[in-house]
Amino acid sequence: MRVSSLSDEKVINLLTKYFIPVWVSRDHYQLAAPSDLEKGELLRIDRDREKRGLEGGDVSVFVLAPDGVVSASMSVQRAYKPENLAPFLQKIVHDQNLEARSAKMVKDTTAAPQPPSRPKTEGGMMLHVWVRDENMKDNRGLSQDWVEWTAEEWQTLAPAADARSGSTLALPREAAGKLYRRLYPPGPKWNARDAELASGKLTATVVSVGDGEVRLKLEGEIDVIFPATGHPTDGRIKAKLVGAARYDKVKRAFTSFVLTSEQAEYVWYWEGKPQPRKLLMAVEMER
Amino acid sequence: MIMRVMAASMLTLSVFATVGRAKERDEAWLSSRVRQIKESDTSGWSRIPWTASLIAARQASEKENRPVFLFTHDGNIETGRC
Repeated sequence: MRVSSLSDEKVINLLTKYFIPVWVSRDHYQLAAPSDLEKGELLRIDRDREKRGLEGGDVSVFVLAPDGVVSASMSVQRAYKPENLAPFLQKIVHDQNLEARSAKMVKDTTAAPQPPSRPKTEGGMMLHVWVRDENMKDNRGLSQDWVEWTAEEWQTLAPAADARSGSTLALPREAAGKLYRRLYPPGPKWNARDAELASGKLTATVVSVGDGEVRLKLEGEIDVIFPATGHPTDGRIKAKLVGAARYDKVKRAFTSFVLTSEQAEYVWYWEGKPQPRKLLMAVEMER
Repeated sequence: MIMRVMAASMLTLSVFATVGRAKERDEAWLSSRVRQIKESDTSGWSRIPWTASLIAARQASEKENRPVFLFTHDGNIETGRC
């Protein structure tokens, strides 16, 4: 839905002009738990849809009348196609003779953008992570996550005061795993808890030492099982990462830190046969 | 749509092109590649003026006397984990 019908210009235009659009995650993944009021309202909507014999399920679109009655619905199997969703919405606009919302109306009900992620620990470093399929044919868009390294963790990559070119630092496996478990592709399985680190390392090599700054080369290797269910047909992500970092010797902090995949492949299984997919990965320190 | 496909194709082509070259990964190359990846998302869905919650949407619907479009799913649409 996200990269198909909900990113279709006709659908965007109809939803923006004529409807009050809202999305609800059933499992609240990466989100705050809903209020009892919201849970109750969703339950009421589900029951109303069933009572009226309308199609749908957990992943669906619903149209609610101003009094809350479910007036129409469409299952994701049909709604993900813009050629189904756009006429469905257009018919409602036509049948109800809806007038376009004013810019003020739209502005007044639009959610504020999410604030950037901030470290939860004193001196922690936030890393923003993106993963996508290299091949647009398998496009499910770009996934993004945030990972926090505590000060104790990222300082294992920080060069010493007397660091010289060529000296190497290694991140402990646990800290590498924190990051690498998030480097799984967007897909029907989305929960990071299902990722298991088989092996992984990240090293930083001092490239140059200036008056106030140390430049480092980063190299990483990933082997992550996803989703890890204990079966030989579990998916597996293997990648080589390259990157660069700058370290401020006075502030004793990284001022930049980027990593990207040079080779990354995800092999998953369908009816026992491996299905390899090339991936692209990017990691950047949040400033 | 065409622009998105073209942008994605250019990203794929540039990735193949760079992998084929000698492996000189300077900071400019790394930053450029990270930028290309993070800007390659299909972002149309985020231009929809989503309401903050189902309750807020219902209230606005009553006030404006117009229908709510509700999309329910699993995962998190904002992070692409869905």
